[in-house]
Amino acid sequence: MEQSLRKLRKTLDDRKISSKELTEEYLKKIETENSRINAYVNICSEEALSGASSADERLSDGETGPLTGIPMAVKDNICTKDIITTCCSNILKNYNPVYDATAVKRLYLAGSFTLGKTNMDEFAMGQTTENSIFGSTRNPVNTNYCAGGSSGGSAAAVAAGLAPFALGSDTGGSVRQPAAFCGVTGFKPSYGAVSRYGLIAYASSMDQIGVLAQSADDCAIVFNEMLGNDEKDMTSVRPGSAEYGRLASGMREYFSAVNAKDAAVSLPAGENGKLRIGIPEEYFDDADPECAAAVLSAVKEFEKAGAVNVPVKTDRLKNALYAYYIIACAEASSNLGRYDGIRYGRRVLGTDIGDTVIKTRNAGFSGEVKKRIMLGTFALSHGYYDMYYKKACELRSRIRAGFNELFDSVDLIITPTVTRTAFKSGEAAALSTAAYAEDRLLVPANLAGLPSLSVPVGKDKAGLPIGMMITGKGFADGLVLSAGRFHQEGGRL
Amino acid sequence: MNISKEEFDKTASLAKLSFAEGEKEEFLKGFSEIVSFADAISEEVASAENAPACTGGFCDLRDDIVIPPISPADALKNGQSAGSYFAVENVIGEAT
Repeated sequence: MEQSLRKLRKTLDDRKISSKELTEEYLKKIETENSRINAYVNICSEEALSGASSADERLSDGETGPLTGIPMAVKDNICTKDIITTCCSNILKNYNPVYDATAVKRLYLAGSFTLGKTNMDEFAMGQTTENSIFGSTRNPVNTNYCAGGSSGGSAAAVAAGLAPFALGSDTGGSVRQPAAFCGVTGFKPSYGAVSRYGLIAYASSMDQIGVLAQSADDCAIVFNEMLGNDEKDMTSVRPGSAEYGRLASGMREYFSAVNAKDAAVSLPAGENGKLRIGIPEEYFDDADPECAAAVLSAVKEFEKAGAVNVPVKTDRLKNALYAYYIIACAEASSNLGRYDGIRYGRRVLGTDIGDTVIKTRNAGFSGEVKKRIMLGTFALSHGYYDMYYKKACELRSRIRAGFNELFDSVDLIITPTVTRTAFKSGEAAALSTAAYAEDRLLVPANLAGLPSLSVPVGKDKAGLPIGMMITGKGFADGLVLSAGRFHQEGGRL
Repeated sequence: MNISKEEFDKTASLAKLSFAEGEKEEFLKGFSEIVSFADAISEEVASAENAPACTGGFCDLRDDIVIPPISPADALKNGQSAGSYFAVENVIGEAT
């Protein structure tokens, strides 16, 4: 059943299978397989079959959109109207959104519908999907290992063939890392390319809804339906801006190349003709030798096809990890301040209103969430604001400036997604704060708002997937996806 | 950086969290670790030029026209309600 979206489209359009039959197949597979990996926390059979019926009516009327009749999985921090959305946290255990996230609404308009909500680390704070009130998600490739996080449920669902594609969110690598660990493709768009309206906030200046799917092409198809300005998200890309122009033209070029008949998949062109790729040494320091070797071997294919390898240094990225954690936790401490049990979510009664709020938050948040709220609050507090938060923001400016300079000389950066393959179950928790260091290759793209794609690039000796990350300049999402497609389909018609 | 118990308590109060004494010791250790982790920010970073927004980007304001809010029924849907109000237990005490 692991078919590309294009193949599914053709199968549905040729009426070889109805959307209802397709959806029933997925639901049946979820029923038998989900207990093994715990990818889904809420299976929406009724909604899915209703969506499939509507899709079949549209298909019978000849109304075919890119995703008509194709179901999806949605990470449990993305609001879906009338479908419980919990962020896998006790504090939102029975929260029932009164609206759909804009991204979800747009995918519904394109003809898709929700199969179910997927597991995640609570409030997207984690790297393993082991910090969830619904239990851990296990890696479908080897269930002794984690699926990564925080979008581990979405990655595992796609990897196990329990959804054709899934939505995740990426604030510090949470789409790309689980994609790498589970051996699927994961795309984090440029910040502002997809509306954040309806994405339950963790760190608002970095949160972005992303796509997990079997291929870069699948990610591109889904992304194309979600992207664009939204008046409900004032940080979404503005029509008429240079950024919007770059995004739109890049995606037009992507689909022109795809739709060109009888043309082999070729290396995309860079801004000035030949594609220039940068392979920063610093991203390979401390990388597991098998991960490094797999990525460098894939890079050779780009070079054979005519890409120019430009030596680059990224020493401005030093300390990006610390800047990320300070800024993310500071924003989280503010964003999660809304959870007080009054207007929604769990409420635990105290002796007065203040005590009620404290007891509610204590009961509702896990240890990891409390830890990050505490760090963020500390970093913003009087006496420490300059030492931590202000410094982190200065570092962020430097990182952004560093990338702007870098992208004068290259079109794309290609690196390992993570320095290693999946953690064994429980390994990251045992490492505690030291596990945060494994985010170091991922977070620079979030700090600078860059588009970034993880594609599978082999397996290690233990059979665990290795991911390669392709990052482009702001709003060059089309080029990043084109490069991913070339890696996966290069040379084929 | 080692965090004192007083600093920890003050931060917890600001964060509207509290910890039982037994829980506090363990949490204090983990919290000191995470702050030490954050300390690794280079000392070379001098005075800050604030850049909290990542793209230097848009932040467009929408047109200044009234858009209807969500209905009272929707607003109250996920909370405890009394009529058209959020219901909060009637307790009397000093605000904390």
